[in-house]
Amino acid sequence: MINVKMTVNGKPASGSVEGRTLLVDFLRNSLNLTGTHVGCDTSQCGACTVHVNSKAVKACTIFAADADKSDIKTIEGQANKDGSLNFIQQAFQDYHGLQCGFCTPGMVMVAVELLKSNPKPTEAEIRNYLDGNICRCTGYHNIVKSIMAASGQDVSAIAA
Amino acid sequence: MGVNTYIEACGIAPSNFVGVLGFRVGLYDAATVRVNATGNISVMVGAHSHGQGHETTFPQIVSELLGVAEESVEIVHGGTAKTPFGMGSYGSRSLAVRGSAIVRATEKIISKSKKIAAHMLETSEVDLEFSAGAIRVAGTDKSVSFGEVAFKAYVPHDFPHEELEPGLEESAFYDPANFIYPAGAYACKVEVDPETGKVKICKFTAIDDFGNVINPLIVDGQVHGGLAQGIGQALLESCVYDKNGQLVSGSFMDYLMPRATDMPQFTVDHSCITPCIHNPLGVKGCGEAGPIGSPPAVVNAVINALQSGGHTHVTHIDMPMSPSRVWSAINS
Amino acid sequence: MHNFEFLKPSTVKDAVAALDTEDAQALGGGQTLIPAMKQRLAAPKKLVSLGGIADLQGVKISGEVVSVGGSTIHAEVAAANVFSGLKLLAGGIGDPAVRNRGTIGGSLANNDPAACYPAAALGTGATIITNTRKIAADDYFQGMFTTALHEGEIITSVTMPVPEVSNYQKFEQPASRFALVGVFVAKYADWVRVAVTGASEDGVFRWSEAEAAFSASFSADALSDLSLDACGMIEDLHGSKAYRANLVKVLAGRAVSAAS
Ligand SMILES: Cc1cc2nc3c(=O)[nH]c(=O)nc-3n(C[C@H](O)[C@H](O)[C@H](O)COP(=O)(O)OP(=O)(O)OC[C@H]3O[C@@H](n4cnc5c(N)ncnc54)[C@H](O)[C@@H]3O)c2cc1C
Ligand code: FES
Ligand code: FES
Repeated sequence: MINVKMTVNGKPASGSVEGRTLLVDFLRNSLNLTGTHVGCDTSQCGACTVHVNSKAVKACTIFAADADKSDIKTIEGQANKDGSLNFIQQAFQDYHGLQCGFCTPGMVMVAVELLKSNPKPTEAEIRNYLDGNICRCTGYHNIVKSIMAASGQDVSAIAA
Repeated sequence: MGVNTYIEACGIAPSNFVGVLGFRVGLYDAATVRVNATGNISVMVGAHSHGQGHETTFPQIVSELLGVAEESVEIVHGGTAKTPFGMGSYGSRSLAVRGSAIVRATEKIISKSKKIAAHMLETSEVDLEFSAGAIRVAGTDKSVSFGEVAFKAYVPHDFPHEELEPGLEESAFYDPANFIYPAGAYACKVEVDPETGKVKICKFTAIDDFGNVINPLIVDGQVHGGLAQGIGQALLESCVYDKNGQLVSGSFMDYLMPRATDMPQFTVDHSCITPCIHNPLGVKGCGEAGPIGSPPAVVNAVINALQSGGHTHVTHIDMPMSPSRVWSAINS
Repeated sequence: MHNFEFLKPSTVKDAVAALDTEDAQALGGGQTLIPAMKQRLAAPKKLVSLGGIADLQGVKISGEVVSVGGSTIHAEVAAANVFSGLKLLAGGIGDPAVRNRGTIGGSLANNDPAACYPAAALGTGATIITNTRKIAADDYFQGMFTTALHEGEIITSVTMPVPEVSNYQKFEQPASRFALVGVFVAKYADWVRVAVTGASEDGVFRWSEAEAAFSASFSADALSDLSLDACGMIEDLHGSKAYRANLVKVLAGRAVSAAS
């Protein structure tokens, strides 16, 4: 077993893992942070997306041991300090950016990364950035709209 | 450019009719509306919600009928051991069939409330009107609130128990009189790259008549997701088996799930409203419209694009119209 | 997935020493190796992560040469001020999360027949530098999933001569987002290189007829009399041999048009 220490959503977290323990399993099973989902386990769907040292990565495709000493952010750490939804989460709620919600944690984590580097993305830029995130419910329409709205753009012209 | 119109028989279904067809089930649905002593309401339904928004739409029905806040209505689902027996969520039936059962059960709540109110106000229930969360003696200012009635129902110190049962909880089973018939017209504009066969959807518009719409945001969302499924079927998705029966599209490395870049921005419109005439909500189903209406529109658009680009010999391409299939059709 | 011993050394020397046992394997970004291990297509007894070695990181641009450290992630190359074909290629690999983990060393060591980096390496005449030697791209790629690397050898960096103009055209396999076909074209003062990925059963290859045609005239029209033999192309549910051969020609033409 390997002892790992990370900062997860700003708090120290540690545990003992096998070499093969995936980061997503460490987060979900050892830290009980089950907001990060596992949709495919084959690195395709993006439901497991978290930030490792400020970069969006698929937590099903990185070993917990390889993330030792890293700064991890998950969907559980996205709300504002007072517990209210952050601006991206709020936009998802306002614009019906989720239906079953399975893909949503990954979508939000990718959107957070996108808006950090590109605060006013175009529709095409948003769609490109979501290339690693699959949604079966929404047809992406309201996800894209939510992210545009979160970036402060006027979405009233976007059809329902 | 491709156009498709459809009409669907859904909201399944009259049990008498499906019996004749040989189905070995009835296709009614059921709901229990439980008004608790505190005035908040639990609605038990026999079908699961997994993203369709039952928890949002069903409370709207109860809220409007009883004049209570939507937030005070909780939908309980997820196991028919604890809810009335239900027939499930499919066939665009949740609102038309289960929603109607909720209406019927809520109507029973109203009628029981009037009985209790009549007792409280020492009047006859025929003189009472139920509106905006209160029960009034018609033409007077005498009234009791729905909350008071609910409380009384569970603290029935002075009830004539032979005639009036305590509690405020009712169930209804609703068996539809007919199918429902949503209809729509869909249009799709595509660009085909003749050198690679790649199809790009430039614009997609879906207009449906779903009858009365209870929650426009949810209905639009159902159509968006359905369009992605239908466009996926037309252009991308398929289970492919090799000669030995081995599934070769067994993971998302080979099974083509639509991604955000595969989809256009949709335009959907539900302003054409012809209410259904035989269910109490006047609603038709919206869950399956997208995947029914969109594939023919996409296929028609691709064939139309190829023909207007001079490839008049192309009259048919099997779905999914992958780039290689489109290219092969052009070059056949 | 079978369990394994996990090590994360901080120097190339320690990594090489750790890899010097049977069934030990290097771990880059894991974007290929981890999925393969989940399917038990790979089952190393020891994994040596190269992610902790500072010397393997980063992009250096010095005059005529771009040098990319073996553990540099795709996103870093895409963000760097490198020549346009390379920037385009790195920025188009997979999706953002894959680009935040996957490395050039892993991509070249794996040599997937549908991977992008092999086209850049072969298309620029890169030099693959390992802990023991320098290998010319022309000698490095030896058929799909096969390279000149020895067991335990680590790619420490890759140097690419900067072309006058370059472009990469990728036609995505629509499910995996790998290249169904990808064509890298690079023009130098006296020659043009054209490298093709995704198409051939032998993995990445140089299309020499197109190189000759483009060297004579650097325009898409130069291809008009050429055709590529479909025999030897990959055929799968996403496209036939003939379809792939067609794509190679179309994309080569587009790459030249986009580059010039
Ligand atoms: C969803 C998805 C989409 C993708 N799309 C594309 C795409 O469009 N184009 C594309 O080119 N690739 C694509 N990839 C693959 C991706 O680029 C991988 O990152 C890359 O192929 C492997 O790099 P890695 O660093 O992840 O290596 P790993 O997976 O860690 O390792 C791969 C192999 O290389 C060896 N290795 C790793 N580093 C070194 C080194 N420095 N020296 C020697 N050997 C080493 C390992 O032992 C292993 O055998 C995709 C992957 C995924 C999951
Ligand atoms: S679970 Fe990680 S990408 Fe799907
Ligand atoms: S909301 Fe259900 S998968 Fe995206």
